[in-house]
Amino acid sequence: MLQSETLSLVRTAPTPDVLEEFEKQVKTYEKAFYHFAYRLTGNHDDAEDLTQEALLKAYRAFHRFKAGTAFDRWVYQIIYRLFIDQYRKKRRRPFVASLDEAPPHLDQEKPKDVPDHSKLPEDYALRYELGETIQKALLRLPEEFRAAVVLCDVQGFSYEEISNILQCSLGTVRSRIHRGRRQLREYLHPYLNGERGKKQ
Amino acid sequence: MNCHRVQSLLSAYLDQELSPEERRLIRSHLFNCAVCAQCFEELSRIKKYLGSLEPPQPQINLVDNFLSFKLHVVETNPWVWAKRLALTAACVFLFLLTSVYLFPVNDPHRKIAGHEVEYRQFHEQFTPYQLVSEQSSNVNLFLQEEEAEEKSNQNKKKDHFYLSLPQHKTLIPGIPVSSR
Repeated sequence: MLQSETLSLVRTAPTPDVLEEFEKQVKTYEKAFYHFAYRLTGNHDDAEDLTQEALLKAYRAFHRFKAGTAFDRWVYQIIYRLFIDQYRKKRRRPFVASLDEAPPHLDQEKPKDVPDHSKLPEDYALRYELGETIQKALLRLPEEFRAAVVLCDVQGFSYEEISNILQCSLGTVRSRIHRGRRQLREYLHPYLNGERGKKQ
Repeated sequence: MNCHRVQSLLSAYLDQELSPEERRLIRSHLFNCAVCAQCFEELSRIKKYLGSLEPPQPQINLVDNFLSFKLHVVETNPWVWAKRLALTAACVFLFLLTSVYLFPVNDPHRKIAGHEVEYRQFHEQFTPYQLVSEQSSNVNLFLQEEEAEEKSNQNKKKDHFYLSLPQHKTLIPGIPVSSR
């Protein structure tokens, strides 16, 4: 894997134009890629690794990228594939956790990373809490449903675009989104019917 | 349209991914059915929540980090490749070397097996094992007789040699020379 990467990197010596074009494209969508990776993985470290790896893969295959087609969809596809591969590997590996550290879901969203758009601290706390709860609920979904729901509701893609990214049929996309949302509805039931949900 | 069918299409209806006819049917159903309307309300709230999630900020500068990593890979990896190639070649060479010693081409057992097969063809009335055991027993008897004859001849020669020597010059083992 690494060998083939190396060879292709060496063989296709990047001309300054190609590198510049790639950088320009990446800078445009950088935050969106990271957001997608974060919603899939649920923590900053994994999201950074996933984004970096996907960018490296995209760079390696950039000569195959057709100008005029959607660069972001192409990279989303790479991120999704990498995520599925890693997820399968992780599932086979036993989970090892340190007793000294806090559980990963408790220190993922750091307060300094959340921009404060509201003036009231109550609103900020509510939004923060809801964000945490939604992320936890997303992580409970199967990875295929999670990717489809995030691409549809967070990134705002149409079903056809999602079917291109996930490389599956429109019917599958529709089914995944429907089943993902139905599961989210069960997990977020108190927020949807309680006072908290209504305030939002 | 029944409730089950409507609820399975609600997500697509929410995302405006249905045909105009389906949309019309669902809209009219939602107007009359409180349960499906409640379900639609909750799904649209979920969509709204997900859409309003704050995008997280990466801890590192992704582009700069990526570029430095890429350059590092380009600089270091050709040597790694060469080393791996050399190691693989060495392993293959060692394997070939050991396989020649472990599995020699001129295997003596194969020859014996071949002879046995030939033998069976000419002497079908006996099994090869019977023939071999008979032959070996005869040969052994003959060899034993020959060995016994040789030994007795040698003993005779030794006796003759020692007896022909003068008595005082013969050395008897176990008795010191000074006491004689």
